[in-house]
Parts: sequence; structure tokens; C-alpha cells
Amino acid sequence: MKAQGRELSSGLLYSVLGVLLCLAFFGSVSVGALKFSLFDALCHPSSELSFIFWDIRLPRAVLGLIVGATLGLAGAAMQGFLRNPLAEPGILGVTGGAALGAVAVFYTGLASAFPMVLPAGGILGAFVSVLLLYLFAGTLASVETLILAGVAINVIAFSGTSLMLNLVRDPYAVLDIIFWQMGSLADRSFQHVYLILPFVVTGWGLLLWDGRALEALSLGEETASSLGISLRALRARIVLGTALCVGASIAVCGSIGFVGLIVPHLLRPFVGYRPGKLLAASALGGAVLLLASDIAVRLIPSLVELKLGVVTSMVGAPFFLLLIFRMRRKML
Amino acid sequence: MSLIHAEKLRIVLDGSTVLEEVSFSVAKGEIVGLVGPNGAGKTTALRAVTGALKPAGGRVEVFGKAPGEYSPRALARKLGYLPQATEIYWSITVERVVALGRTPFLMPWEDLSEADGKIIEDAMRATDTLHLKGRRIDHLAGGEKALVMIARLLAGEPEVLLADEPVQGLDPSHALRVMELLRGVAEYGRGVLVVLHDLALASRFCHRILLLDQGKIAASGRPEDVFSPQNLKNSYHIEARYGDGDGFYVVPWRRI
Repeated sequence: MKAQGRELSSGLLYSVLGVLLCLAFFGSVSVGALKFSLFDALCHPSSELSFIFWDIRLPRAVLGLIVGATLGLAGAAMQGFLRNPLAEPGILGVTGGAALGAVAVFYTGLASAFPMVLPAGGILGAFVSVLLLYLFAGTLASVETLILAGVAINVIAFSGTSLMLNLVRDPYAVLDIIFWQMGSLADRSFQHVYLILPFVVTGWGLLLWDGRALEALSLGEETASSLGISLRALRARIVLGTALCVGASIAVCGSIGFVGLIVPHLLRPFVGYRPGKLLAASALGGAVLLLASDIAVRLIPSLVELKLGVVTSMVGAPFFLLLIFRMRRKML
Repeated sequence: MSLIHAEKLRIVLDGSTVLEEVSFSVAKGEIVGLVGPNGAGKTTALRAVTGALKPAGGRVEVFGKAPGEYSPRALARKLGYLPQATEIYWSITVERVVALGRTPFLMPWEDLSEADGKIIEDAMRATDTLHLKGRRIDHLAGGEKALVMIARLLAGEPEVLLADEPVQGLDPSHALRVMELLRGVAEYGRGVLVVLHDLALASRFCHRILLLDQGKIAASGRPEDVFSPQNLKNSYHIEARYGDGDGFYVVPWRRI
């Protein structure tokens, strides 16, 4: 990775990202089909506007913040751990695995009987995906091997999901699952937030703990090990942390890709290419990007509201291709 | 007292014996050169000392204890290791690379203290890399990069330094600079075990030499004794020229 841009001090960087996050959050609770003043909603607690604010827009914004932060943080952690700027939960099959786990829970009907099983299904799917990725590619895989491993895991996850869709008898259930898979923050409540929060916070803690270890890993495994980093413990924390926060987030929001690819890539120059400092910055940046994308899906004029996962993919896929193109050009 | 002590060390990798009955030690204040033909087991010996490889027989001790008896951080505070051709994956600054040497002393949530900053600056000053501190590591020339890596090693203030071919690919000026630094560190009261292919540098800078051949110690002792015509013939199949005008040195001359 060539250096471009300039490292910002932690204070300035987090202040800028904090301001952007506040703006995006405010935008997210302000934008919707019905235009009203937030002041009115807050001053009239029993009004319809208050209901829209507290029960529809606020949980949507909070969930956007949590899921965006998760995807940004997990992307930065995976890139630091695998020392590869193309590592991202969606491309590497972790999102697909989580989606498969969640669909399995939907399919068996367990989700409606025991709501806690839904994040558990997502976490289990994500956990198996990260483990498979590690088994297929290891930590010193080339870009090609890594992407191929991700393709293989995505194919496995897609096949499993398709199989379940194929076996579902109720056509409405099939539609539900298909729409859910496209990824969205709409129609979520604080129940969803409470459902995933313990898993997500634990996952964040495990990933943020690894900043210093990821910095040491910049000089390779052998050097990191000689600097007192236990690679086995680091690997366990990254696998478990990613599975917990990505799995739980995907379980309630569906597949939302590319946030973990775009955000660390954009922020890397501003943290001086330091994988440790990139973690918290990417969490904030991920939250900003997802909230902004969720505002965009509500503002883009269309007959039906666009799905958030569709929008992030439409932006992310060309970005991913551009990254591959730039890396290829560098190799030539 | 020996800082490092290996006794009848035996290492087996993928079913084949790479080191057999290897014994050596490194004492305070000395720089010991580990030399031998390619595949002799030099890097394996270093990695056994770091605890990365478990002995199939014999033992290795760092300050009287097996490496595995220390926690990874405790061992890292005692033992600094510079692997062969260090990989660098991100375009971080020289100062950050050197600061990584302080990793064993910091908890995950701790930032560098003022004292850490002073140690980092001293390490860069000692290696003459202070002027490079704001440069990106991947923008440096090979010689500069090698000095930065030594600075990273020094920033950890280890009592024993293990360096695997630290002068590989360096021009004579940078190679001499690296060897002067390592010798200086040893004379400052630390122990240095360095793998070298350059026999002239090994004979000129090392207090003692261990000549490894096919996983066994072929000779050990003062450079004058180890680099005898017979030993060089047996292990390297070469003839050498010797000089002792300004200290002993050996120059590989022709293949036999």
C-alpha cells in the first residue's frame, strides 16, 4: 500500500468522524416519508409523530449506527489480521455464512418461537465461515487465494440458502426471506437492538482489544510473535469477535456488503496506514456510511423503497473492482 | 553466566532431523556468529531459541529457563529477534516501526509514554535513522530499512539480540554499519547471536563463531580457530585467504 494523503492526529480524526456521525444520525431520524419537526415529536409525547420518532425512526438510526460500526470495524480488523486490503466480511463469505445461519433459523420456524435463536444462527454461520476461510486460505494467502476462498464460501452459503428457499412451501415466506436477504434497516424496532446488543458489544470489545497486536502484525507473524503477541489468542479473538458482531448484525438486518471494504480503505491514509488506529476510525466511519446510505434509500425517488444492501452493493462492487484494478496495475 | 544456553539440542521438522546434538551458549558482552552453508540449520537454531520450535531432544534455555516457561510478553522483553528479510505489509512511518519495539512493555489499551518516546528516539539516534522518522518504511532503500529494523530491535531494550542475516543484500558501508552496531550493543553488556553468510564480517566482528554443517556443530570457538583451512574445506568446499594486520579476517578465495 503506497502512502497517499496525510495522517491526522487522533483528536482531529475522531472529532471529524464524530461530527459526521452526529450529522448522519440526525439526518437519519429526520428523513422519512412523513415530513415533521423533531421538536414537535419530542414535545408531544402521545402524538402520532412521537410514535414515528421513538418507535420507527430512532430504532432504525440506532440499528444503522450499530450495524455500520460493526461492518466498518470487522472490515478493518480482517484486513489487519489477513494483511490484505481486500479482506471484507461480505467478499470473504462471512456475511453469506451469517445470512445462511439466519435463513436456517427462519426456515425452521425457530425465529418466531425463540427470538434469541436468530442472532445465534447468524453468529454460528459467521463463525463457521471465518473458520473455513482460515482453513482454505490461512493468514499468508495471496489476494487471489483469499478471494477464491471467499468465492467458495459464498457459493456454499448461497447453495445452502437456495436449498432452503427451494424447500419452503409458503410462497410468502420465500418472498420474506428474499427481501430480508437484500438487507434493510426498515421496520426494525428496539427489540432488534436489544437482541443483538450483547453479542455486538462483546464482538467489538474483542476486535478493539487487538489494535496493538494488529500493528505488530504489520511486520509479519514471526516478528509479531517475537514482540510478545500470542498469534493463537489473536486469531481466536478475531474469529470470535467477527462472528459475534457481524453474525448478530446480519441476522437482524440481512446482507449488507462492502461497508467493511470501502470505509477502511478511505480512512487508511488518515490514520497513517496503522491497522490498530484504523479500527475505531473504521467503526465510526462505517456508522456514518451506513446511516448516509440509509438516508439515501429514503431519498432516492422510486416506487418502492430501495433495499439498503442493494445500494451498498451498487456502490461497493465498482469500488471493489477499482481496487483490484489498481492492485493489478501495481503488480505489473 | 550464559544468557542463552543450548544443550544437545535436537530439532525435527516434518519428520527430518534439522539439528542434531547442537550445544552452544551466548554470554553477556559477546557477539556470537552462527555460520554455515545453506540449509545447515542456522535459522532453525535461532527459532529454537525464540521458542517458535520445540526441541525433540536436548534443551534450550534463556536466562536459565526454557522459552516456553515464559509468557510471550515476558520472553519478548528479554529476547529481541530480527527475522530474515522482515515483511512489511502497510506503509507506516519509520517512527511507528521503531515504536513497535516497545510492544512487549505496553498493555493493549496503553499508549506510548514519554519514557518510551525517549527510548525510541535513542534507538533511532544510535542507528542514525532519526532523520527518517517521518518517512514511510516502504519508501526507504534496503540499507536504510535494515537500520530501521535494527532500531526497532534496540527500542525493545532486550538483553539478548538474535539477528538472522541482518546484512543480507546490503552494500559494504551499510553492512559494516549494522555489524558495528551489533558489536557495540554486545560490548554495552548484552548478548548477540547473529546468523551471517559473510565470513569476512563474521571473522572481523564476532567474538566467537559457531560453524554449523548439516545440522551439527562442525566447529566452535574463536574466529581464528573456526575458520581454519580444513574447516572451510570440509564445510564450504572453499579455500580462503587470511589477514591479521589489523585484527583477524578471512576472505573466501576459490571453490575446491
